[in-house]
Amino acid sequence: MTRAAAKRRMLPLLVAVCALMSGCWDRVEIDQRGFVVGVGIDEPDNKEEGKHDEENRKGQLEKNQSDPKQSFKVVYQVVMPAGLNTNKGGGMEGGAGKAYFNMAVEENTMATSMAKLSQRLSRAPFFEHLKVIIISENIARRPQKFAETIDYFLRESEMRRSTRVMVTRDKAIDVLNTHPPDQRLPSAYLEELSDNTKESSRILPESRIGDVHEFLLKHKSFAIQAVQNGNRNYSTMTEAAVFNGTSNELVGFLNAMETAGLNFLEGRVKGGQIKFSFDNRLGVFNIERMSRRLECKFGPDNMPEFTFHIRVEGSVGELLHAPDTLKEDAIDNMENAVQREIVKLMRMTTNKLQHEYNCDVMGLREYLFHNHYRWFKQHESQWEEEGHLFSTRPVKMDVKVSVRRSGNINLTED
Amino acid sequence: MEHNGQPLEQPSIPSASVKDNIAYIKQLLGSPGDLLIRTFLTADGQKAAVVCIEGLVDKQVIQNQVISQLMQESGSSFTRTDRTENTGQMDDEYSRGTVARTTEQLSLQDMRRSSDWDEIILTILSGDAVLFVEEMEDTVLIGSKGWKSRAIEEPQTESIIRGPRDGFTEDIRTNTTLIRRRIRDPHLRFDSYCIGRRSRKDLIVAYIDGVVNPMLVKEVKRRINTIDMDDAEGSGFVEQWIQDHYWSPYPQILNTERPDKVAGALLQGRVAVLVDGTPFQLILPITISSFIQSPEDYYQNWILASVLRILRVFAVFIALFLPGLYIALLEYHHGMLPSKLAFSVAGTREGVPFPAVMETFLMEATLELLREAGVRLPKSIGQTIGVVGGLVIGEAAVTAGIVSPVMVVIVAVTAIASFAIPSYGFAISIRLMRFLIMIAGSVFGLYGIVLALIINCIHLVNLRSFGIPYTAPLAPLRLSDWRDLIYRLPVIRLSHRPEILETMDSKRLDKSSKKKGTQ
Repeated sequence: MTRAAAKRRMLPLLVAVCALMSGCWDRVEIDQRGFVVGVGIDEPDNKEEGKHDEENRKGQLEKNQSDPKQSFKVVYQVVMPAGLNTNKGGGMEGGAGKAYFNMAVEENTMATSMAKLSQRLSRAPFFEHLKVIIISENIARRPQKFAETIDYFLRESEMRRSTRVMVTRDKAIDVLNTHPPDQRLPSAYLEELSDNTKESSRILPESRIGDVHEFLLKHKSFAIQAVQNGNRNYSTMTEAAVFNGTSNELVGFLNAMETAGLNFLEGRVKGGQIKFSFDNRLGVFNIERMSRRLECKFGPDNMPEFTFHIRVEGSVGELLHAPDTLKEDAIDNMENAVQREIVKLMRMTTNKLQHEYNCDVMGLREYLFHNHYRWFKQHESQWEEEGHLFSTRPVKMDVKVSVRRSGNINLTED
Repeated sequence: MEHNGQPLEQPSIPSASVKDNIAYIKQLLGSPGDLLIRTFLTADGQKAAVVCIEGLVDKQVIQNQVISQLMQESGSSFTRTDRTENTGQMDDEYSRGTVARTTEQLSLQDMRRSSDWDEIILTILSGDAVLFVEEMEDTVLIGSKGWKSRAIEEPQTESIIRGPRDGFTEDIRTNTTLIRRRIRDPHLRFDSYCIGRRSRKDLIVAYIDGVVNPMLVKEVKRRINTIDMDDAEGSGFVEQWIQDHYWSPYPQILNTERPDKVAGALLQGRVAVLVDGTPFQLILPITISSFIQSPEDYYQNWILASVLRILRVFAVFIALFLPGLYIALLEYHHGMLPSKLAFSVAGTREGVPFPAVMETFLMEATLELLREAGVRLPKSIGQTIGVVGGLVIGEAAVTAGIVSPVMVVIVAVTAIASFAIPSYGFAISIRLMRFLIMIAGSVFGLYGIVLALIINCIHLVNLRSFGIPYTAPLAPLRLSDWRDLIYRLPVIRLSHRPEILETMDSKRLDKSSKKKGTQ
């Protein structure tokens, strides 16, 4: 037998070995997966953890031994798929079964906490459907801790970069227990809630973990969604958590109005309402679209001054008295009132960012980086840190509002 | 012809004695019960005999046109009249006697003379009658085929909504008629062959001279001449004998019951092979796109036809990949399902005892069983089996918790998709490939499915059908053939025959006679 013939004879064997010995090692049945959809990261609680256990979990979770050495208490939200099925067949419990459970683990690294979780669950934790990571304020406020926390969620190959990251003033575990009656999974609820930017101007655009990673690498200050009011039935997302770009730590929150102002500054408003007063009565303006242009002029001292050109279009949503909305002066009045409100919102935000937090999350640094690179390179270190250039830069607002429609009617009563 | 081992003292030509000839035939055929021999005296008093096989001949013809004529009118009564000009040439050749001339005047259309025993015997066995006359060495072969054959019916396997309803029958003469009625081109050729050492079946190669590529016809004839077997059972044997790659699961020759399909193919420059004894006739060469095309595409509006063809492409993909994808996604790539779907699938699979692979193979095998049983069962029960199998077993399996409801949906969709493929032969190949892809998917996941697809593609581009690449307008790219591929352009735009067939006359319509507005 020649060499070539011998080789040819080995070929089927090789194929058979490849097929029979290498296949199937990753095979896991879909019903053997523990789908982790939400992760909450808290500080380990010290004294009152017993009370929490009573409130949130019914004893099927073991008590958390408070170990002072551990730095995180990680709550994993795992789906119970059978509970999600609304049809009567199949499921062992009826339609209204619980669709999820939370399990808390105390550890000082994420990976080992995951390992601990898999020691307790019969089904291997699976993170590809992870929706939200909720980090409590206490963790995020500590220097570097925030980045350490999300490292695992960026590094692990099972993770997706579209997972939402949120900060909460409350306990993360509380937020992970809230869902309105129509939603069965708190994590899915939070994810959908974070997309509601078309309905409200006070919700920041979604904060994906991939984007956050970018901000961290760029040493850029950033704001991400903050969730609060974690009660049984709902949470809200109308706050923003501001992170300092150099220390990567949480410096504070913007309230709902300030968040709306930030959205206007960044030009990311997609919808929502502006309440304005008009002849001492209330009116509501529906935002339909907006555009934003940032202009920068260098003064005699070679220092930039900024002007935000904002154009907002929308319609009249509600009026609590009856001006003739087709009259030109009535429209002008309304436009001016709305314009004042928007300037007020933006002013609030810039004041807080410039003078309280000294964090440039409204895009001035980006603008200089892109358009005046040489100047920016010279002054980079002085922008936020030493020189406090950012906090002293004058910012002007040029807002133009057009009322495009009066709604379907002109007058309610005559 | 060395018929059954028994040595016969075979006379090479029929003898002048009717008695001897009859004796020889009887001996050769073993005096079967269906051999009809009628001896009689002609009006001239000569001894004559008609030999034929009962059931294969039209007795009326023999009775009225042969026997009674010969018995009643003497040959002289013909010759003495002025009708000599009719038989003028014949008279020179056959000056034997009056009967010889008489036979020329039989009112028969199909009649010839022969003195070759092989031919005579074959004629008898094919259903014609043979007339022996005393003192005449030539025998007269009388075309009197007339057996009972099935009426022309609607094709069973390829029904369409709009279009002709006639289908081929088992009788090759009827079939050629059906084609002739569609193409009145004088260049339409029917070249006859006789295949099968024992069965001696008729086979006809049909093509349109001047359209078809002569090399193709030559090659088809060469391959048909190599056929050497006892019997060509239907067209399947012929198909398998002359196809290029017998180890491929993909059919390289199209079989059809529809004469309009054959006529269309002939006009495109293809060759049809008609085999006696089966309603399935062969069209060749073909490409893989022929399997998603249906004659209906040409009868309908081109937009509808194009959409339907795209739909059929999807059907092919679903029938091929859906169960494999289901396995791969459920066993390996849970992250590729949308979250809600993943949870709901996981929920419905809760309590199902089998892994997804087992479940899928189980259900697919059940489906194939049902399908096979449905073919075997009598028609009236066949309907019931579909309902019982599809609904009852599926529903029962779900409630019993053996399979998940999603699985039933997958199996049902796959089955429906595979029925949407117009060609049954191709659908079978797809069925087979589906199982391979399921195995690949269960061993390697999506990676395995992609591997299987690549292997399939390599195989397909290597296939040829009578020298024409199987994936033709796609793989050797012929953009002009794309006008009638996945979509079909308006009839006015289909100006050329398929380029890949390299026809002699490539134009189907003359654009110059059209108004300018068309271009």
